[in-house]
Amino acid sequence: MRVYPLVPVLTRVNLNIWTLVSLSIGFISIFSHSYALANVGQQLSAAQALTLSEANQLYIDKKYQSAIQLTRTIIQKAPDNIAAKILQAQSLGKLNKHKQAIKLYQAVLEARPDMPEVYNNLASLYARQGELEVARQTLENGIATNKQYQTLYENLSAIYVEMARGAYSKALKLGVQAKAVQLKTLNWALPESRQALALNTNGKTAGISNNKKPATQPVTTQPQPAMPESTKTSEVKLASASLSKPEVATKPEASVVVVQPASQTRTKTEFREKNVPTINKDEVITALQGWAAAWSAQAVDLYLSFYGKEFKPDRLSRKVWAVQRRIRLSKPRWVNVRLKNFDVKAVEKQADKAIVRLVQDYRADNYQDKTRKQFVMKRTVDGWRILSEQSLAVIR
Amino acid sequence: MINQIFHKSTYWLAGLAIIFIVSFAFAQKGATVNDSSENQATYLAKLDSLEGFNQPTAYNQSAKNHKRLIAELNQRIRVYPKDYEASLLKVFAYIDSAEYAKAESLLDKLIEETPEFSLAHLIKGDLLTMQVRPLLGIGKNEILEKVVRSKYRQELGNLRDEIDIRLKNYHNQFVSTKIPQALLLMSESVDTAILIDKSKNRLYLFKRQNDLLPPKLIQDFYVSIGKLRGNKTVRGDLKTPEGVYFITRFIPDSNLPDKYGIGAFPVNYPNELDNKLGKTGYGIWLHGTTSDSYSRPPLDSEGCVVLPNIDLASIKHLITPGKTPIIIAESLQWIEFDEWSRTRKDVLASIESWRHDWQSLDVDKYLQHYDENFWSGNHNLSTWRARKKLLARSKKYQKIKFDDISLFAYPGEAAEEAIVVARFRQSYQSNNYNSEMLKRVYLAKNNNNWKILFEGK
Repeated sequence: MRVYPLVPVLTRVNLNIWTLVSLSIGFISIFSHSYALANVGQQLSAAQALTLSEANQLYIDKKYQSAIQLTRTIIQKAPDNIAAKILQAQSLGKLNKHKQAIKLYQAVLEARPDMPEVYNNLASLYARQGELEVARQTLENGIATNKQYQTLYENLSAIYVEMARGAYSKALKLGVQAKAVQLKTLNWALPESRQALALNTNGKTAGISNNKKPATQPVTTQPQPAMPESTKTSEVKLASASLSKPEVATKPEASVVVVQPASQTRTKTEFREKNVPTINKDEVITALQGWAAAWSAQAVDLYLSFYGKEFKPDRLSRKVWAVQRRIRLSKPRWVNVRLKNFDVKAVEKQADKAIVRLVQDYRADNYQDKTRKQFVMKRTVDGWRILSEQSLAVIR
Repeated sequence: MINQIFHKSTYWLAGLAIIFIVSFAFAQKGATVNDSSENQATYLAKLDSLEGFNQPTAYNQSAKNHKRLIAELNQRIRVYPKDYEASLLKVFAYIDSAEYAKAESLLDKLIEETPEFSLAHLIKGDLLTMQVRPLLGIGKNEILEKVVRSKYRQELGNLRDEIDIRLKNYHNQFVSTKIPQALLLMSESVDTAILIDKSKNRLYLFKRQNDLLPPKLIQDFYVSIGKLRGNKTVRGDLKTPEGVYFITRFIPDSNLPDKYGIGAFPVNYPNELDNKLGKTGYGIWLHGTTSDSYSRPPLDSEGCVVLPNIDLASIKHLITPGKTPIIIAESLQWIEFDEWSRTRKDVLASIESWRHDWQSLDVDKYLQHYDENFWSGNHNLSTWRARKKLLARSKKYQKIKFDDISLFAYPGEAAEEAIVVARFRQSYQSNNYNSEMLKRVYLAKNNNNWKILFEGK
């Protein structure tokens, strides 16, 4: 039986970032794969190899269901055929059958724990399910097998960013849900199919857009020495040989650029409304004392926080007024505001509104006066807030 | 001066343990050199280069300090396994000495145990971010900027303030050989005392040892206090009062809104001195935190002292309403043993001499022990004098005994003169009247003599 050389015969296909960006989502390209099929570590019959390439073509043609069926028959005949498994897992992934795909990838990794693309794609499945921590671990394992794969770093970085966002959201109690992350996946193709793809660059096949640059250069196959009588040891040697020569194990390029942040769902913090129907005059007075204390401390933000949302300043917009208050409150070197002669009355039929009359004794380093004032106060979830503030008279 | 209390974030960077920042800078060395968008692959290389980085001497020295710090923190955690602040500080020490894996696994454990601890999430975010983006400081980076909308800016500021205060005040711990000036004498019935240092946002729990030795610090915690700095004077002024107070009772959480956490210990503000000074307000409590949050920002209450639920739970059983004092100061004073011992001897001697002169029925001598500003109920010194003179006529003999004396010194800034609050059991016997009562007496230092400023039940 003739051994079909499935040793790395791959070349590099360089897609620069610009090309990637210009490409539409979901398109497939090829990357050089110095040891991909060689590492599969088994010998296929010519017939099997052909079927595998057929299955690959089906995948490229986006006929994922058929690709799955075909790979299934291959695997039935050759249960150790890793190439077929990977192809099947990729197809399953395309059909959003994440669980099955994950299982297959895991099985592949058990047999061959040294394939960064598999780690990468497995991680992307985890990430899509929102299992960021597992995705991260998987990517780190992948990087541990080969430090040259840029896509793995990019994906890991995306995971870090999302995890950090998640942590910050929790710190600030933003109520943002854990997000799924869509990572770049690495596709993995047979040499023949690559030629097919190259031929198809002008066509519409495989989701390649028409205006795509000839990123897929005509493939120049570099014949590799045929694999010696395949023994485990020699495989390992070969694999490690390619690993130790980064220039041979070229940078695989990302094929699909999809970093689509899922939509954020922000749950509004809900406050519990209190149901107290009567006015507690002490509460109203306490709030106004706080307002005066904030003014005296020249703590402008705190001072402004005592004004309710509906507070409308006289003749000024709320914003301009706030700026004006900020300037005026900050100007004196010291301020002392005292309130006395409180007269608190409930506004008719309203349990959450009160009218307060009082005397405000204002002293600062540059000015002092006594004013009779009237406030309309409103109860909010944060306590009593000022709705309106009015000077009735200046006393002396 | 404008608004300075709320803008502490402007100095937190400067005030923060500098080593911490330095280490962040180290970790970021690679990332800042390479534009991250251009070359994402650098982060691992960056970490690699960090390993081989020729560290300057200062860094090595701080690494040594970290070992000591970690040992110290471990000790704390051994004593109190829920000391999550200590765990968080340990994470900092690990980050600082570039042991990121250790830092992260400890942080994950912490988050698992106490998922409401916002600071743990913040640091976790930083730890992840530093892998991919430059950090400008704790809780300060590009990723976080995008997460925080303006609405949450104040909250982020609060978290930074809390970290700052926790870090600083852990490091600035007083020298353990010093004694709190406030706790001059704890009687047998007063097993524990609570001290609050407002400037440090810290609660210290002390335990009585015996009559001769000073009380011992058992635990200290981060607490939140009033929104405005300064001593409370008026109701609603959002300030935490300063003085010698006592826990009056316990209100269980079942009778309280969630805001107060697992329970509340009301404090006897305004006390006799506050009333005398015309201070107003009420409802100053030591209480817990809402069930959905671990802690609150440093300046956040309307005057109450707020202790995280977890910590309150751990000391709740050590607080006895009616007995446990809570002494609140802007900044606590710590003294040497000699001074502590001398002061309490002086005060005890004055009390003994007062008791002696009282018992002797020599009213003029007895009245010499009173301060000119003395008050008791509606009495001032002259009405008191008249009353005592009148009473003395009916007495053939008096036998007065003080037991169970405790002495608590007033915080320095809270009163114009040095004041000590004495609490004891008084048994009084005479030819026509007998009584037993718990007494509270304020003594003021006047020309090196301790005089009675207030006397009451």
